[in-house]
Amino acid sequence: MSGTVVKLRDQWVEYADVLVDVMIGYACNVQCDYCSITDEMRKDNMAVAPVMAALAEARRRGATKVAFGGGEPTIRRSLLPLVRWCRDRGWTSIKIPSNGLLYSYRAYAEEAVDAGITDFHISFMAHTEELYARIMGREDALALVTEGVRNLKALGRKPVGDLIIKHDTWRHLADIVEHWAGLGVDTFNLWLVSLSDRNRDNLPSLPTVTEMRPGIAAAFDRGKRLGVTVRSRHIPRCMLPGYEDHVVDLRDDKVLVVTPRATFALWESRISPNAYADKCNGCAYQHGSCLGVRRDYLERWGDAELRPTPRCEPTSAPTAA
Amino acid sequence: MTTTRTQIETLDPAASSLTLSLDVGLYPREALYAAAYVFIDRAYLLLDRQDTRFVVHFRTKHPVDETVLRAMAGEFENELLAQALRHQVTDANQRIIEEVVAIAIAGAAGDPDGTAGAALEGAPLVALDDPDDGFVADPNGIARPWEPGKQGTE
Repeated sequence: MSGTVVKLRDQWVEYADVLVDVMIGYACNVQCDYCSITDEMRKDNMAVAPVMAALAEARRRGATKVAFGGGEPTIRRSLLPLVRWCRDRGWTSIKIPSNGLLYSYRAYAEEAVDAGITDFHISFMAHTEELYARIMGREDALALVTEGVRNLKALGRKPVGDLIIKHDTWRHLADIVEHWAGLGVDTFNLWLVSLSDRNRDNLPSLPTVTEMRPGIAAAFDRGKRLGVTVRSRHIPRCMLPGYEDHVVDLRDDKVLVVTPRATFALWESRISPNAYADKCNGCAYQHGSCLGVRRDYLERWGDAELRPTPRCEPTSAPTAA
Repeated sequence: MTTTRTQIETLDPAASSLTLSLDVGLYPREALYAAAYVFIDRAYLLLDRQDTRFVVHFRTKHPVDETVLRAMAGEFENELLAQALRHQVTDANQRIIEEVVAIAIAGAAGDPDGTAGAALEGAPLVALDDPDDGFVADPNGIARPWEPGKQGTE
């Protein structure tokens, strides 16, 4: 096996196709009410040297796509120096997922753009001050994130929106999409809240997909009407009948996660481990483009909502050559 | 001398002097210099070489007895080992150390025209040996890390 491939769970993937997602630390400047990061995990930060060592090795093997996640990566002083370091060494895609608060400083936004961040992802919690404040714990959260988006847009960058589907957001997903689309955002990812670690016992935060489906479908429909892309990243297509085209499989991203404690494929992470239910056996999408359903969801709600698609069997026996 | 062991060649308590020899293939020269440097507050040292062995002459700055001289020989051997290992680690990480230092210097230099960081306090510096390498300074306190038990108290 050559040195340019990496094994992500059960498949070998070229490093050139892999997104190396480095969790530089779990520290954050806010405490969202659904966050799965525990107080203990917040103390976990990667020193700069091991981050650079991991990236140097990945780059040597051909990787060109990197993300720096957290926690909130923008509060780390090392972030922009690391971004510059990557930019100067041939990383052509540099993604930063963020809560967007720091971009409210025009100077920081300028520095971030200048350093070489190519993909700005922002978690949009809501579309109203009240809901934003309730989820994120800051009264001025909506105003700051709005200012951040405006700053990035003025600098010629269009952030991608990450939306969390949970008990108090699913009814508003379409309005959230419309609000941020109005500020120039044209791509939105929907992520299902996770019942893991700190959020493990917050059972009310995760209703069934069946219950939330009207809100999710409304977001897809509103996006279509507005001409923006809305896609789901966590929910298997069989739970969103009629909207299968909006489902993006985690496997498509080929994400290699590097954390302070371990390195693994995204779909093996504690926050979003996927699993197949027994009834997935025989589904046409199993082991193909569907990675199953989140394990915490299965534990909470079981497999009643899953609707496997039967495989197309040959209509006649193969003939001998 | 055919041994590869570090050994005491001479030991003279009356003159407070000690001579050690060690195989040149066993330790890098840098490790020898570094180990000798550790002792310069306690003794006058002379480094020499005879064939395949380094020779280290000690003369302590204050009178000492044989026990102290033998202890000093043992300490020197330990220090040689520590310095050799440190040298090996430095060698293995040389490239990464240079990169990190380059980042630190670039960060400390700041932006040349002095405009980009106008609203932020200080240039982005990286603490080289601190896994929790610090957080960006910001006038409105947005970047302050959230800490358990402090929410809503500041």
